[in-house]
Amino acid sequence: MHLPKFDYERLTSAEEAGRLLGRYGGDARLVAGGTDLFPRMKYGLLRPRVILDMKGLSVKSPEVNGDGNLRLGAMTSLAGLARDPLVREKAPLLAEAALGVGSVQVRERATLGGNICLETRCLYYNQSHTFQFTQACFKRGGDLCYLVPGGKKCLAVFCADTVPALISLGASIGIGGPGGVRRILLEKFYTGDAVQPLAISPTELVTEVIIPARPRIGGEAFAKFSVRGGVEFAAVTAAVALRMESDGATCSAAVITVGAVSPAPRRARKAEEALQGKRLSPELFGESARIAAGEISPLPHHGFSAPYLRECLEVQIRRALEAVAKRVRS
Amino acid sequence: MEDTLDYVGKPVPRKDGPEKVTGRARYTVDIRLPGMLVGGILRSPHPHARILNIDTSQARRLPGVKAVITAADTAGVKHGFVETPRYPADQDPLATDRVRFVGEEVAAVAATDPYVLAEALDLIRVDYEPLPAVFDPEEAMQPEAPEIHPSHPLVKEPFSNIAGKTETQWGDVELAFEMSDYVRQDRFESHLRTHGYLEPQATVASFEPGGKLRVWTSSQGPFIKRAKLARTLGLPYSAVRVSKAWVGGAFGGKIDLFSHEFCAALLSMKAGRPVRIEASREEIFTAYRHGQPLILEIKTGVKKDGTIMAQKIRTVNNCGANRGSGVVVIFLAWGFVMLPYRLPNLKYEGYAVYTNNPIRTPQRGHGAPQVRFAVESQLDMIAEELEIDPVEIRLKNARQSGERLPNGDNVHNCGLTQCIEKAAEHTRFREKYGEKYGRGRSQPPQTNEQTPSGSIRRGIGMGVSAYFGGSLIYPNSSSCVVKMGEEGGATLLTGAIDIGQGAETILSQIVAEELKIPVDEIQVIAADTETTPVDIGAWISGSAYVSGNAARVAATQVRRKLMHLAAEELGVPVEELDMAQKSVYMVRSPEKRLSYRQIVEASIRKRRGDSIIGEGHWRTMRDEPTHPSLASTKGRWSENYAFDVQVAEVEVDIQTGHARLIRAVTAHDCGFPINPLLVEGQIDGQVSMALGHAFMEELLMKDGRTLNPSWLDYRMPTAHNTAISEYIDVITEAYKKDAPYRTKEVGEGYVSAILGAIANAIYDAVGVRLVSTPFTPEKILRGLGKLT
Ligand SMILES: Cc1cc2nc3c(=O)[nH]c(=O)nc-3n(C[C@H](O)[C@H](O)[C@H](O)COP(=O)(O)OP(=O)(O)OC[C@H]3O[C@@H](n4cnc5c(N)ncnc54)[C@H](O)[C@@H]3O)c2cc1C
Repeated sequence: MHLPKFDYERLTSAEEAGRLLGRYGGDARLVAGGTDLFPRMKYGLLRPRVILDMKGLSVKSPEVNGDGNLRLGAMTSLAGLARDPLVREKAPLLAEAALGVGSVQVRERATLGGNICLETRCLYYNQSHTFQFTQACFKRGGDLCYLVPGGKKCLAVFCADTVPALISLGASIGIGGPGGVRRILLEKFYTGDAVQPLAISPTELVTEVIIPARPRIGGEAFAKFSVRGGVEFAAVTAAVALRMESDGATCSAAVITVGAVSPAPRRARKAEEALQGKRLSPELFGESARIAAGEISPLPHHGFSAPYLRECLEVQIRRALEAVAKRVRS
Repeated sequence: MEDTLDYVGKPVPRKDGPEKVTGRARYTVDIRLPGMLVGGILRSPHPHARILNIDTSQARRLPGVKAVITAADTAGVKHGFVETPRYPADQDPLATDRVRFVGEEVAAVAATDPYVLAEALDLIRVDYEPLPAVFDPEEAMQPEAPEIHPSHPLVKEPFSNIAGKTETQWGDVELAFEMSDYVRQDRFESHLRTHGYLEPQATVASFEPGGKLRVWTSSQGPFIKRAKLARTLGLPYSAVRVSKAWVGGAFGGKIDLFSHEFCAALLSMKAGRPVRIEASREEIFTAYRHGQPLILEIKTGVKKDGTIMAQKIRTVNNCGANRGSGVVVIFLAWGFVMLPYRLPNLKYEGYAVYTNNPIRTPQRGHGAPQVRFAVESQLDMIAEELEIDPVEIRLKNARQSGERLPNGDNVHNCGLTQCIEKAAEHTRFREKYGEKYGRGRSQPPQTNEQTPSGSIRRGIGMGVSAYFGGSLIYPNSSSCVVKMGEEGGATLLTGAIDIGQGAETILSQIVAEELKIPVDEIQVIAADTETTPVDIGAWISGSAYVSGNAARVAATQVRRKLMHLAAEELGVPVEELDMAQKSVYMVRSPEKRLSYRQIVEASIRKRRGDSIIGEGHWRTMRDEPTHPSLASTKGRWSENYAFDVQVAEVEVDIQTGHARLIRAVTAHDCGFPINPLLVEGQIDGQVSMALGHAFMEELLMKDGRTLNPSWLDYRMPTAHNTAISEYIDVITEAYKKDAPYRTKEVGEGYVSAILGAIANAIYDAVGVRLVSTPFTPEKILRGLGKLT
């Protein structure tokens, strides 16, 4: 399979990026690591006229602001994130999640911005359509769904591994565009529409990620379930962050974010509430996980059935909570 | 003369190693010829449709397009994996009036670059009339099912779409069931998997001005490719030359003719330029030939003590849109049933059923994994019912040396009993297995944070398998030539192809042994239909035995010539001489010696320049006219049977349902290992392939279309998933000078027993009996009652 032909521009500064995005708009595509974009282009899923290569942009090293926030450049590689001492100290959950992506080679190339802007996936969609599934499905601009024949909308799932972790950490992102830079909570970046999963326009780009300082007492854990345990998108991911009372035993606030089972990452809000104000215990974790499995209805994907994913999600959340309990710092 | 072995039986590193690890090895995809065009194939989007019209006119007019072919441009000759009077060739290299599976080849184009090619393929207009399709073999058998091909005329039952049937029996099963103390019937199903060879299917064809078609193709043997190319192209054999390129894995998937090979050749003939076709990984996953999912219904009767009295077996093979090797698998399945255990009464019927799926081909083990999974699982179910332990029941029924098989073959030296005993002892099987025997089940300590203690269960299971080595299938035999070199080294000419299994290494070891020349100084010229003699090919597990004995005979001839010349020169009888380190010496006064170089010189001097050459030929079951009947199983099958026992230890997470193999022990009777390193490599490879089969790999299909046609979504194991693999050699044969040897096989048999062993180990661990592969987390959780 060959990449379709395209024009190529190598970006060297943010200003230039803004200018070229403004000029080409929807005809252009940003490429960072290219680990998601190029396979999709080879499959003929998109044929941008111009590729705007971001690899020429300087990669900002992770830094901590005066207000204690951790700032990460969108072009940071996932391998770099996982290796970075500052990230490992200030946001170990993110480092853990980044390590779950693909393989060593993929992580060296893949960027944080690219992971955040990952397209939703579906077995019927992520392949070439030269002689299979030739009629366009919803995601390819048609009006049918192969996964659920007769379905009314696209059911592709969002499986970027770092995103549930970032959401559980309360991260926001900077988006640069013609009107300057806007900042939004990452959670708000995902539309829930599998066809247009990201709240970003063709003239914008994600520039940075800001993660608030960790609570004084708390802990986090990440769980990803896949069959091969590597070079594989998740069946389910769960990222849990707990803020603790000063007693170190009572949960004051919890964020549980679940990935890979719906078109956008999902917060398990009822399960979070169930933890609030309670003393941590195995029973509590079990209950919270059960509630999460009740409030989130996983979509079947990558050959996993919905009932299995529901069970799997419950186990992964419970395990993540158990892991947090062991890690809670005081 | 004493038989000390210097090269055979030694862990000689692979000859092709340095070339491959340094990237110098040339594979088909590396071949570049001047003016070479790129070829590609237009495939059917329908699982079943009538072709009403193909319009290639626009594609032909596109600048850069040098040739376009459809069925109308072919000689109209069909081919097939099996080509016998009962099962004549049934595949068109390009579809004629109908397509029967998604991805079937309809037209092909050669162009100057891949972009022009893609555009040209897009410009070919094919009008189809879709027809009803059927994908499940049991549905396809129903009388009212859509007809893919007429049922085989000799099958009288009112089933549709029967590609072929194998039927055989001995004894009286019904009576034996009556006499049994316990009878049970179970149904086992296996899933669709593929080979996962890393090197894609690729062919370079160049039709040269003199009228010779040169071909390089990723294959398991050049001679069968030449035969099928010549016939389908309407050329004499002498006009087709298939030459060697290194092969990056095959596992059964590159044996018979593929349409891209035919198309590359015909396009080159039309365009007058070399043409290269390389299949994309997606094409390989979606449209190429995979292994075969079998359904097995097994009824077994046993005595209280576990003695097997009778089996009644019905196999249904989802054989795809043509016969492919589907009719071979239903024959082999019978063999894999009757081999390892005594079976006094059997009734067997196997059906190969056409479905609108891609055509099937052998895949390492060719049915054995599916069959042994079923038989070994059921045997454990029986053992549990009878309260006999799994080791005992296997020992009770294991075949013994010298036993005659019901088909007239003899198992000769059979180390199965020893394999069972040694494997059980080595793994402390009886201590670990099944708490219900009161021996206690060991629980590993669990501290991993991600898998909280208490969620992991460990289990152990055993499986048995046996495999034939070499049978009679075209081209049936191997020949070799060995030439002495001027400096005392030697050159081996063999048609055998090294597909990574180490053929060139072991053949060199044999020649080295016979001539006492270091392996490094044996040059190999291989796998070229024009310059090397015929060879059976790297399939039917026959290389080490058939090609190996041919090489041995050829080298022996050279040895005799060297000895005679030396005797003449030294003026002593041959009986007083022996050879070592590239020289012949007098046994009683070893300082009297002649180097091979001196002997060769003497030969040239005294015999007017005649060089020293030996030839060797080998055919398994030399006097058998042909292979056994695929339909009735009558006729001899093989003279080499390898046996193995595999023990699997697994861990199952009862919360996620995730199971993994943590240790595999293979006790095997492969005759004797010509190269122990290669034997270990084969075992490791098969264990990791089997664990992929057991836990991860599955081609997901919906209505004939493939859902996961990529390395990402078709989960082959990575290095991280491999299990500890240990070996126990049970050596039953020996290599002796001047005598044919009977080494058995190691390339296919050890991918099978382990599958049953894993299923049994999962049962031991969590009490879930899985009757279908793969053993997914979902099935295990369902078995544990955790999913509704
Ligand atoms: C074999 C394999 C395994 C993989 N496994 C995983 C996995 O386990 N988990 C996982 O999460 N991912 C996985 N991936 C997907 C991918 O590698 C990662 O998601 C990666 O982080 C994408 O980053 P990238 O820089 O390569 O993105 P690119 O391919 O460069 O871009 C991805 C998309 O984001 C857009 N984009 C990139 N950067 C920006 C930006 N700054 N602003 C706006 N838009 C932008 C691009 O236009 C494109 O649409 C895998 C990929 C492969 C090939």
